[in-house]
Amino acid sequence: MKAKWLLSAVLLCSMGFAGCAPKVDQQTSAPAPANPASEPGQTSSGGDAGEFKIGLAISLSGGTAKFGEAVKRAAAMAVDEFNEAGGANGQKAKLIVYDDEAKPEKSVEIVQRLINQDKVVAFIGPANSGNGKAHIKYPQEAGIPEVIPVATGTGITTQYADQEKNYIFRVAPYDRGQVETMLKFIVEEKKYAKIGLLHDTTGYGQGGKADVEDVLKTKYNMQLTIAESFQVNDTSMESQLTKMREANVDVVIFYGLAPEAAQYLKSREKLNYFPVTVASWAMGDPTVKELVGDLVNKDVYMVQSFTVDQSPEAAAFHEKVKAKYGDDIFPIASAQGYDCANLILEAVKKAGTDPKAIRDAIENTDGFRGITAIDAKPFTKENHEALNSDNMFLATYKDGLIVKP
Amino acid sequence: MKKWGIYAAIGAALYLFPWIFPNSYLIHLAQGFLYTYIVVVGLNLLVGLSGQLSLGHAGFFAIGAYGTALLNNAGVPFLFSLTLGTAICAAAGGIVAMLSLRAKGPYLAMVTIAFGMLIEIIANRWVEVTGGPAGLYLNSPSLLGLSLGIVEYYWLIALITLVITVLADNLFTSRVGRTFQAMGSSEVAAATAGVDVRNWKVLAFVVSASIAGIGGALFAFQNSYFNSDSFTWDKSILFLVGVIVGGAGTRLGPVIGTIVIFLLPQAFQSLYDYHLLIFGAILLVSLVLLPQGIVGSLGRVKGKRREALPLAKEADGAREALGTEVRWAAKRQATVLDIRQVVMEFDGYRAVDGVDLTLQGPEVRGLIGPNGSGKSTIVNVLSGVYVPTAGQMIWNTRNVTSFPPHKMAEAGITRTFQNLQLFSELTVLQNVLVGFHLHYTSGFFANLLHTPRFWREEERLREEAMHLLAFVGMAEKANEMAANLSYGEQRLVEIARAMAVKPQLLILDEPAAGASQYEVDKIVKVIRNLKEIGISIILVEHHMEIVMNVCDTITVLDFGKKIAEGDPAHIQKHPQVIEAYLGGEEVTKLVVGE
Amino acid sequence: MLQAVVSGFILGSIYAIIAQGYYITYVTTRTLNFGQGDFLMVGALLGLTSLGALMTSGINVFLALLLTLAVTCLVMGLLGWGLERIAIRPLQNNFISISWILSTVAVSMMFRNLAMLVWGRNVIPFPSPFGSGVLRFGGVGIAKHEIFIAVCALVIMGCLFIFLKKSLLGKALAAVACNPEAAALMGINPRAMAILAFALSSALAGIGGILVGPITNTAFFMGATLGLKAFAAAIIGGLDNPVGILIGGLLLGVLEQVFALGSSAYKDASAFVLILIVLIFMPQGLFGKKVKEKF
Repeated sequence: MKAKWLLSAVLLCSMGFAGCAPKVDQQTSAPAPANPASEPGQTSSGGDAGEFKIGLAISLSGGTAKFGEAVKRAAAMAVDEFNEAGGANGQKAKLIVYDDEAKPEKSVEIVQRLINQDKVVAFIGPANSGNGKAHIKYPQEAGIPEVIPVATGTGITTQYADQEKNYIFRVAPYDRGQVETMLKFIVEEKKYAKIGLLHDTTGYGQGGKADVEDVLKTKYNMQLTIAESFQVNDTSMESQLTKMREANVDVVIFYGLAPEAAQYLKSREKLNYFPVTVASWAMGDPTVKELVGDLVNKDVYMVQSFTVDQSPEAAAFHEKVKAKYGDDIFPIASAQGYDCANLILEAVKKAGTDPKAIRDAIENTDGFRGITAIDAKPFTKENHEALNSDNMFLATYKDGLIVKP
Repeated sequence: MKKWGIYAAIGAALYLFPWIFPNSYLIHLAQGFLYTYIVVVGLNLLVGLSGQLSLGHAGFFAIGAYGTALLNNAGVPFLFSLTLGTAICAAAGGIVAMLSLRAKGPYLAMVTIAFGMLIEIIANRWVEVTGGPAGLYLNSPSLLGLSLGIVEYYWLIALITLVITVLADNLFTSRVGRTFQAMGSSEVAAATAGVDVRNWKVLAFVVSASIAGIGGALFAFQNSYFNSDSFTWDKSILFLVGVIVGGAGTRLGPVIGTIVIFLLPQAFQSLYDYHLLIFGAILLVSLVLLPQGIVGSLGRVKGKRREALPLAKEADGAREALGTEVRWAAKRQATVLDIRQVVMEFDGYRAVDGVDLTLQGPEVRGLIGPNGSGKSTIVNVLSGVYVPTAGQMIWNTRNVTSFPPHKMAEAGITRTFQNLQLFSELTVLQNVLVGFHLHYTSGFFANLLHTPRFWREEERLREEAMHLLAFVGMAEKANEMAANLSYGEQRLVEIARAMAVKPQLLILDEPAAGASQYEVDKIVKVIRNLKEIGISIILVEHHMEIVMNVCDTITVLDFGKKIAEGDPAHIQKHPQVIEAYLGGEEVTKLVVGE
Repeated sequence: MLQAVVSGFILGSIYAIIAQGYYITYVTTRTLNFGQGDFLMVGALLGLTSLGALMTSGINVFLALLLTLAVTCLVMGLLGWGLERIAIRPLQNNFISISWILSTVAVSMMFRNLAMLVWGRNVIPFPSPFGSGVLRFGGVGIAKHEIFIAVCALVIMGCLFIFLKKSLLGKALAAVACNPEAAALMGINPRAMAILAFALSSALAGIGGILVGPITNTAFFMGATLGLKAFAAAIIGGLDNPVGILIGGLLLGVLEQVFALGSSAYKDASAFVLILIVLIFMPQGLFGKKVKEKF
């Protein structure tokens, strides 16, 4: 019996010591398990391979699958076009796609896989803000640029803003920008005082709620009159709307995705109560109109940064997607995904396949012609949001079409 | 000691992994694998051993994660907050166990689902504390002031994994594991062996929840960030899949199970359009083709040969002891059981209707009567399985009327079962060892750590168990799985197990049913021996031959009422008995023929 | 308040229909389909496709609806039969008594994936055959389709009760539930009854899908929540009591809606708290049978 205890003690100790020893090693010698950052750069900037890899880490299953699918199609199109046009310096791009299943831990896993196994030079993703928050540490540490096509959570691109090089970019109407656009309309134009908020309980709605409360407080020194929430897949929002009616609000801010937006509009109809509604971009998802038809027409406003007919390029792109895949399941996500991919590909054309150089090239992008409302020079060192509140506007439905009011 | 060689090898392999694969993705995967494995190990203790069900383990995972993370954010050192987080999980496990004590099957599933969902909802909505879907940012974990990098953190997880593996393995091979297994196999039999099933269920939940909590805490610190999206119902299902597919109740099962639920999906990651399809298919096929899990099903094929070896020696020792007395029962005691006007009613139907029964000193009492006369109900009442609707039971001057089975066992009354209730997943010897439940003095931690004291006790009781098996003539089969025995053999093992309780009153419920003539003879012999060493016996039996031969007194029941009592000769001639029970010619033949 | 109660009743009757499927298989085989929600999803999508096809071919609305119901029931029945054969029966003698939970979950995962591939990742509009009109009674608004749901729920459950209690086949099902061996001796084939139970249960899920399609969002991920809530309803009522299940479903639906008036954030927590409370005091559900085990 003694031997056994001795053995276990030795085992424990050796594990303990082992824990200390190589940590010193890492800092000095280090082929460094903990510091794989330099590797991808070295291998790919060698430039021997005939192709380089771009990653896409986004949800292709779960509740946000639709966004992921739209981005995937658009990114694949961008990559195909890039390759057909001859690539960059004879190198072709290859898109590696993984599904994060809308789960943060999965997202971390596949991002690490893209960085360390597949050695991508840059990647696109994710759709869920929580997933972004969970994984951005890794591209930042490894020095691999990431361009976010869908996740709108405030703060993701500014997480590393204070570092010398921030590797996180975004081409999506980030929440705070949307909220500012909404509140400008509500408070400054319409002078509404009693504001109700209805949000979903996912990261999207809760993030929106935090932004609304914060902007209201800091910018206008106001407070929400009432805040109610609903769950994804809820079939009715009557109780919440009833409370809105009792609170006598002037306007309801709706922060949720398309299916629930449709439920909200149906509940308005059922209660025969039609408060002025200002919603995030998801209300402009064509699905909403498909689901509820004419119900979209009554006093519904939403933030938009993109309409398929806003520019000839956008219209042409929309047609291209439809021609290739049969339909454009989520035009704005497709457009953003396409721009994300092109930002990376343009940067590769200019700077080669070293991820760090790509990052610099993305940050200094100039003369970019995108599908979305993205500027020709979308980023600066401080600002990694391609779409800000200047590109956003409040639109409304008129006879089922999205128009500027 | 071979075992420790294996542990050392595993430890070395875990330690060397980052040196061999200096790739942070692989190390990250390894971390994920290990903490998932930890949870599966814990769930395996609950589902595989104690036969309970949890479809809400993601809840414990979450509590561990939030508990540890919040404490650490509040300034509590990492290891200390890990310990506290685990303790919180243990408490939560206890609460869930209490809530689900009476629920069974799908109802139990629902309690655990509801728990898991509630935790998920709280994590998602109580934003001020948990951060909700916006998540919690954490400091990177630090030990003694040293901040742990990815490799060091991996090593920490590896070390914890190793410790948990060793401890879980210890539990498996100690009486705790045995008791869990016994409880999972037959709650009522475990209770009649003196196991307080309620407490042990709670214990199983507490242990399992704590381990899941450790897994959750390790997960939380992996990325220095986590949010409420990680604790969904799917995750609970996934953990359960790991347990079942790997092989519930096996020691290696969790490893294989974790490979299936964690590593396998990595292999088809680029087939993202089909991953649920593939995973579902793998799950279904493995459930159908390998019904006992991968390890369980393969183990069954290989198992027998492995177990055959150590048996021979032990059996030899026992054979020598054969014939010697069973030491503990040497002292004779006058036992007095006094049942007064006991009534047992089910939905208005009186199965037992005001029966009086008095038992004096070591005697063998026969309890006979036609089918439905209330014999089994009396046995159930006497052993504490049912609480009588009315009436009183006095046992050695104590009122035991409302004692549950384990209390009855403590008081010295135990039983065997008409429809056999052996712990089929245990060996014959282990079955008898469970019978010694009340006579173990080593506590949970002694069993967890396999202290010398634990070994001494284990050795001593093993020997005693072999004596008992020799006593009933089953020593040769000590290492056989109980499920593989013949009917009669199982009855003998049940008797040996009941004897291990060291009762003063043993109730044998139709011990000869389904036994061969050879086995019947053996059983009769055992009953006589039992009486000789001073144990009172209540014998419920249909074999008139046995009853008439071994009983001192016979009580006859009909329609829940006592109709006659007396020595065998008296009963044989009792007209009412002949009328009610034996009825017609056959009896006369039997009686006269004798 | 009244609005919440009315909506709750509608929601609850949906739960109840799905939950009856749990009842049928539970009493005959002591197992149930944990993937019932995904079967419902398949039913909804199938119904949507066939209704769409029939409507465009210009048949009368009601005829199209009836045909759709028939087709969906048939296909779902076949799926239920398949489920019993591949995921329930092979595991019948499994010593791990809960394997069926996982095998039915496995099948439902596969269905979810297939549905995603066939019908896409987007939410699909499921226009109610009765239009999207809303009727008003005092202050309470009810969509026409909701009335259809309530009526259907009553009719279906009525038919089901009559079938189970009065018809020979229904009695055979009950006999198998009580004692499979004895039933087999009486010439009832327990296996056939198990298949029948699962086919019926799946068909119910399919009908449920068609009923809820127009008021929920029809998509590959729609099933999980509904399946779980329906299971909760069945447990609250007591798995072996169909009337109890009906009451359990209605109770749950109303509770959720009324609770949302107080705190919408914790609305779905109310269902699970209710379950815990019920099960602590009545471990067989509100109306379940208490069984005394015999040894």
